[in-house]
Amino acid sequence: MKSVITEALFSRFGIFYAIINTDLQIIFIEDSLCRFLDIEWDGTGQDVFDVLPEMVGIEEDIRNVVSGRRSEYSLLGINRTLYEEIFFNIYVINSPGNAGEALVVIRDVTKESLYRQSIQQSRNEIELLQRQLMQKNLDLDKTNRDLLKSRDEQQVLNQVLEEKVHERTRQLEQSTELAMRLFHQTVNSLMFALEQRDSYTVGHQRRVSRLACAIARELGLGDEAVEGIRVAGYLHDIGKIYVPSEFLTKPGRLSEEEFNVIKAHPYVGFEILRDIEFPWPVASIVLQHHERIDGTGYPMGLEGDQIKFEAKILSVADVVEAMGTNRPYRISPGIDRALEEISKQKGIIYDAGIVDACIRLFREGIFSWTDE
Amino acid sequence: MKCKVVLIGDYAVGKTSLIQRFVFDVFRDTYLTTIGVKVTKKDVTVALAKENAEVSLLLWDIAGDDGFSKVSPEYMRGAAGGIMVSDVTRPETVRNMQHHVAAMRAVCPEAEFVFALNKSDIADSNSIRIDDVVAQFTGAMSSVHENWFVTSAKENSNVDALFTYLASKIIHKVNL
Repeated sequence: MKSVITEALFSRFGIFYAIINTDLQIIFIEDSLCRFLDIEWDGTGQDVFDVLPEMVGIEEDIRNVVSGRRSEYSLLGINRTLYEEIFFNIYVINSPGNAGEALVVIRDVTKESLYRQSIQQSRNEIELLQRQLMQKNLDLDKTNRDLLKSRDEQQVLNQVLEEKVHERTRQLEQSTELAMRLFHQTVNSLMFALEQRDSYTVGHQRRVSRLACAIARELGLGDEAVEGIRVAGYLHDIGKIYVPSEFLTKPGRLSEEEFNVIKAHPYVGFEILRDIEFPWPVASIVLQHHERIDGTGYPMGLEGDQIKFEAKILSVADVVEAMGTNRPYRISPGIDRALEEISKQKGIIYDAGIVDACIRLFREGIFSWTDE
Repeated sequence: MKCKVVLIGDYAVGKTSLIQRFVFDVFRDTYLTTIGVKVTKKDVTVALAKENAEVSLLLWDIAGDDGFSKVSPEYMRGAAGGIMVSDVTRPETVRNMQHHVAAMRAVCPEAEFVFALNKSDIADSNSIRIDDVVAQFTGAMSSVHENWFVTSAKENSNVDALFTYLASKIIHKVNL
């Protein structure tokens, strides 16, 4: 029988005990252990594995303790959910004074186990979080590496593309330059062909072109439009290839038939140029360069806004050049006479603004035939 | 017949959840670390050649190995079977199953084993391919043969199969 002191100590430290015999029956000495394990105590022995199923599998070890071949067997940290969460240790201890019996001591370790659980829980959660963070960092590193690799590849690709674009641009520039050269050579060849045939037009088209460009610039036209006027000026009389040279150089008045032939040259020029894909309406300008704003021109008798502005410029430049420069077969009446003529016809057959610009060029010394 | 079956694995791989699902058909999403050992009983019926056998599985939910406190060999003593559990999203837990098997074989050389590659439900969200995990596992473990299961306690996937397969192996071994 436990002493009062022992009982006080057992109670203080949560210790319960029972007896286990060779039949592996547990004999409870008092009901405190039954209460702790939440089992009914009927005063009889109970199968140890029913009371403590945690001992299944270690029958041999228990028998050894009961028989005295082994002094003790312990199983620590048993957890059960009963009336509350409990933890306990089981100690099976040989009882030297009582053959065929051993003590089963149960020690309640709930408090320290719950404390341990709390610490362990925190530690495990922290470690899991650390692992997750490490994994995230690894993923981020990989993403960064992939991005850097992708950026490097992109840079190489861009460099290759830039080189290709540069090469293609250079080829295109060369091609454009060649096309422009061919274009100018073609224009010059056409102009040269006419000049070879007709001494009247030697230098005429070039000079008309210069004056027309100067007027256009004076009127504030852009480079692109001026370039179109330049080309149209170079070729405006190309249709005279069709006109016999004796008609062109004939002193005195032309017969009506002869004049009709000459009047066809804008249309012939148009026909020659119409299939050439100029970036400007060169063929139309050439067609209209003898039209007058009052409808008295040829070949179609267009008037006012029906006539292209470039053609109106060309018509003024054409007249001024024809009157203002000498020919092998006649003396020029002079530039003043030419300017007087267009001034008289200003707003009647020639566009007023164009005439003003042309006169300004000469009066203010902005333009001169000798500038060439 | 009572059989002791221990569940062993690293901490937080889902040993408790597998038992909870198998015995009580419940799943709790919150993690509560196991301290010591908790024994839960489940009766299962195993089909034998001539008759069925009733087995009481005493499932030992053993505190996971956290690198500091190793699984006590005392908990493994007398076990008829062991379930090695790992978390497919933590490769080291899959690798560590080799050590757990070795530790258990040292104490229970006759015990039957089965392997659970658990938490398959969160593999996708962790960019894990189950096939890769299985290949890594079967490549590292030469003697696993067919006794492994990809499980999910949360989705109740292969949980019954895992336990009943082991129970069947134990009973067949006893009846030989």
